[in-house]
Amino acid sequence: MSDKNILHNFLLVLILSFTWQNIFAQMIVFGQITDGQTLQPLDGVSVILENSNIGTISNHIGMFRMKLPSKSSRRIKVQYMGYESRNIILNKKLCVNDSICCNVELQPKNNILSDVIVLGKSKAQRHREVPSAITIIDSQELKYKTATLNEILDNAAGIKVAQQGGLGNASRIIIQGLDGKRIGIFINGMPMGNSDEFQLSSIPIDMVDEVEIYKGIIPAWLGGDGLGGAVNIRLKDFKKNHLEMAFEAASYNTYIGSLQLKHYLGKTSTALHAGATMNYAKNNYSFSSPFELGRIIHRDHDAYTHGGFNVGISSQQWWFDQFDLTLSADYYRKEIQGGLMNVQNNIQHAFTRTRSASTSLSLEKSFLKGKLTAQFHSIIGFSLVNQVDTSHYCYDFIGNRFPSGSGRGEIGAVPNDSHDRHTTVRELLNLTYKIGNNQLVTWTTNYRYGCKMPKDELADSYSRLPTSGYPSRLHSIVSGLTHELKLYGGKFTNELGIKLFNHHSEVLPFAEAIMLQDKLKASTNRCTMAGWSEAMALHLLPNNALTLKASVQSTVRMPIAEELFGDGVLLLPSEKLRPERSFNINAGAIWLINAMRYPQVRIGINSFYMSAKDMIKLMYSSMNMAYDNIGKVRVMGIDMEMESKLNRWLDLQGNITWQDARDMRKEAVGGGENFHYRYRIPNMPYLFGNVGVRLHKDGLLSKSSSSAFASTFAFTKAFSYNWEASKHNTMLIPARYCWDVAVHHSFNKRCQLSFEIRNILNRENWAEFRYPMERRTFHLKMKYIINKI
Amino acid sequence: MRTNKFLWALPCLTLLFAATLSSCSEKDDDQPVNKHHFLMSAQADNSFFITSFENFNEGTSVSYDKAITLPTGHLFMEKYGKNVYLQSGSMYGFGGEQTLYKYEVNANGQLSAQPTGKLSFPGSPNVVEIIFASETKAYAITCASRGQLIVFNPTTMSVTKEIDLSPYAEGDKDPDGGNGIVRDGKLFLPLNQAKSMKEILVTPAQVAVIDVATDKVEKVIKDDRATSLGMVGHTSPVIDEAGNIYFHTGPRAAMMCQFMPGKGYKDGLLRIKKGETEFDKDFYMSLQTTEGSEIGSYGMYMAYGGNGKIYTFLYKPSLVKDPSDQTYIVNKCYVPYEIDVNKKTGRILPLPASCGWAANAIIKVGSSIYFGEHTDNGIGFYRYDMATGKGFMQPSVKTPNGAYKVISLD
Repeated sequence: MSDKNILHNFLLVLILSFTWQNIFAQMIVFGQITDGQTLQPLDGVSVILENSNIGTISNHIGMFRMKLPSKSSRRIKVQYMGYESRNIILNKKLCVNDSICCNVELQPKNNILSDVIVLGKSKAQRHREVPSAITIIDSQELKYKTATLNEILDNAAGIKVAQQGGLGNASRIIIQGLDGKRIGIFINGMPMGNSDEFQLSSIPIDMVDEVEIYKGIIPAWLGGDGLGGAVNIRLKDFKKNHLEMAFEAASYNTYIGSLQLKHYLGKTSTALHAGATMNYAKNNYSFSSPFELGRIIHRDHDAYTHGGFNVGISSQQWWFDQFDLTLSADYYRKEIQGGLMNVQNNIQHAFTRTRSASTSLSLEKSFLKGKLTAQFHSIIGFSLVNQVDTSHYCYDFIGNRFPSGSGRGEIGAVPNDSHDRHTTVRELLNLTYKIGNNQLVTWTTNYRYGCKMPKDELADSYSRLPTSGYPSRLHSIVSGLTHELKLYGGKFTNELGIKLFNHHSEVLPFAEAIMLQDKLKASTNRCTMAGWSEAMALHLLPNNALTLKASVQSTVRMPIAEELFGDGVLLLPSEKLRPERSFNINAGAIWLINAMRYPQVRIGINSFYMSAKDMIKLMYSSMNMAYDNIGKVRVMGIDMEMESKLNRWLDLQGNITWQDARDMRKEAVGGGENFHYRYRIPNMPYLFGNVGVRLHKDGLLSKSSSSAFASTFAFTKAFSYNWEASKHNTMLIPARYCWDVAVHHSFNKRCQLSFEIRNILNRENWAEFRYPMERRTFHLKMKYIINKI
Repeated sequence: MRTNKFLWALPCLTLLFAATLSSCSEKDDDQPVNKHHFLMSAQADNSFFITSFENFNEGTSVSYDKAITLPTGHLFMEKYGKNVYLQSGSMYGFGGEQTLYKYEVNANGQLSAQPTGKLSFPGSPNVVEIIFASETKAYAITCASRGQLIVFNPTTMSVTKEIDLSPYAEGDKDPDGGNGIVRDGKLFLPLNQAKSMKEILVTPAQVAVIDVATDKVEKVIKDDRATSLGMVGHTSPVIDEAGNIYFHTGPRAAMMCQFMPGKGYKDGLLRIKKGETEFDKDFYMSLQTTEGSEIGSYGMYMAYGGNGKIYTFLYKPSLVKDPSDQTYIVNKCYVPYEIDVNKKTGRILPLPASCGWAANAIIKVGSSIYFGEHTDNGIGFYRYDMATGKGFMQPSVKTPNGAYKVISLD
């Protein structure tokens, strides 16, 4: 080799070396991290440059972006709790314009029961660290459960669910001292109404990926109204062919089944999906009558049936990034056991039936090189509701059958055979614009339309009045703008939101008032209000182990159809209702101790203060009830939760909530002093908690199997059903203790078996006043999953 | 290692904390009080508060501190002998419960801390009113049931028999017994003949005359000058010094007159004279034509003041300011009213008007009549002096909320 060649080669190497260094000096690696099975984006995945302290985490759409300094390693490590970690060598050939695109698929570990070594933070943990006060129930907690969503929520920190009986009976969600209608229910961000309107038990938990419980603050991006909080249910979405079947048999003839199918057409992203649910419960348990001392009542007319079916098509191929069209139909039938007040009377024939059909459309499209994302969801639903109470006979609890006091009907004053038609339209438009890497602006607009066309000729003929009410319409728009700002490398997050609430209803007043009118005249109610929210989170300590968060919100809940229109049986219309208003403050912290090794402990604490006014309250009329704006309530409290993974086979968890809701109205309705000023709000649990232990072991029975034993103990302190004015008050909901045990076994990836005994102490518990629940119950559930079909 | 131990201890400390919180209890510090002479009840949302108080002296305040509580329903409250009987009955299955409670009244006018007797009526037949005949016999009136009149022994609190009233029903099998009274060994029991909770049949006013000794229905007397007497809860018969019984039709008939004019519904008061078991053909008066009354007016519970004067709350539809108010509290449209059965006249008393939930509690104490009211001036018992004809615009006795019933414990 000549000197010239040597010199030439030396210069070439030198140039290349500089060039290589130059490339990596300015190089940026970016990409999207997804679940290898579902192809869902993974939020909060750690991406670490090998042999350095440089790293980043993926955002809510799985995207990450990281600058690579010169002379750094070209290997990155991608790791995420519950997934196999991956080491990736960056290929310079893929470098375009100083950037390397690196999309990563992570494979889930075989089984969540497996005694994995915990590394980094889970997706749920990342969600917990958002500025809002939030409790997350992730898919791992749901995976082997036999319970309904109501029962799952009942064990979460800061939330209580009061049920009136077994499956299909009414339930009331309580968050931070506010309940029922003040708690918004959302599915994938779409407002579905409040917790009184929407039956959570109708959603099989096997369809749920994650439940987000927002406490005291409802993020503007959720696009709905509510005072006390919100429950957002994220449903599973499968990115590969998937068939999943689950069936549960439980005491008192309870059967719950679900089926989910998704099938991709060839190698395209277009898929057909279908789902079916079947719930049946006879609820035929016995208990002591709260009304007639010494009487044991066997529930023999409390059966609940729900059948649901949906089919749809989804695609990422057409002009939209995401397209989904789903048609669904549901059938509900619920026998009425107790009439107006639970089991006071022996009802044998009356029932309610709802048949509904709906179509839902979801569209998503990115613009401006992914900076702007538009999402549109639309649900249009029709339902026919029948309240059927036409029996010519009534029954007492000692076997007598006698003619109905009203001629026909077992409940209330007149018989019912209603054919009420309900139309609902829900539209949600969500626009997200990304400004740089640190700012996100979201504009969410939600429109709801409700129309009730009541018809009950039988009731009308008996009362000579249109007892079922008159046609009524309700329009509401909620529009919210949120600005999210991340500073100091994501250590500080700020969310500022404003919301506009508009509500318009047309209601005909109640029957007696109409009789005083010469001509029917609808009462029109219009209202526009504004709300705002400010939330911030500060992440401290290495790996952001400690998160401090605070939020403040001025929010609104608009009156719902039932409050405005009445129910045609007992509830009178209240056409002049105003929206409820609330000012909420939350502050809390989450501390993840020992994120990388055992024993790992997570502690969450949340304190809250709420001041609500114009509360819509149910008032007792002579023989009816009606809603009115009369309440003023102050709530304060604290909830704490702790979850610990003490070693490879032992987990402990517990939470406790104290909330103090007080009446703050000084003047009584109608004038004078309000004697229950500063009294605790009736029918509101104020101290509750639960503890649980889980032991789990892989390969106990076979190589690929996993086994677990879990036990939880829940406690709710006795609370008053009425104003606590008397020391001798007897109207109490007694203290509730409930001890459950469960064993789970997963034979392989496909087959899972769970067996649970609930209320093993066989106590007669009440969740609501004079609504005894089932005693000890047994639950057996089998689930079978096929991922490749 | 030390950190690890701490992390192991943390869950245990949490459990201990939870157990400590859950075991908290409140102490009861009952203190002796002066003798109580009266018992009142009031409804607050979903419950009744029943509490005793000393007297009607000016400046007295009633507290619910030691009140007995019952769920909202159709309240029966009466003292018979040494006992007070309480029941929140279920009207058409709406609210209340199926158990009658007996409380002993001690020398201090205090009700026993716990009921001394309980009677759950078998089968849960919706008992709403009780009529006492003696220490060992009382009648329980059912609502929306088989048309039975339950006979029970209030001393032993046990059911002794049933009287079948279904043969006297019109339109169905239940004649819908109303609020009756026992006089001279006869039970005079109005039959409401309701078609539904909101509607009554257009039939003559009816009262079943039942022999207390034999529990036989002797006859049902009818009078087409009025429709449906003695609606449970909202009306009550009264007896004057001469032993004459006065029945009133009450709210339901009046509403029918207002909302369904010309359909044959008639309101009014009828009388059964002492020693007779037929309506007095010479007595009838409407409460929709007397001074201050109007179409749709009706009286509620009646208290006899002497000299032919009956006191009640009169509903005046014209005082309803907000027809859409459903609380029955905002509209102050019930006025204290005096009926003179001797002159067949009536007049509004010089007292403020009250709301619908506080238009039932009236009691005579000495020469005064006290009306339990919730007015624009305050909540409590307002005094009317029968001797001077003077009414007071401020409450003599303050009550936490509008009284629903009041009785004497003496």
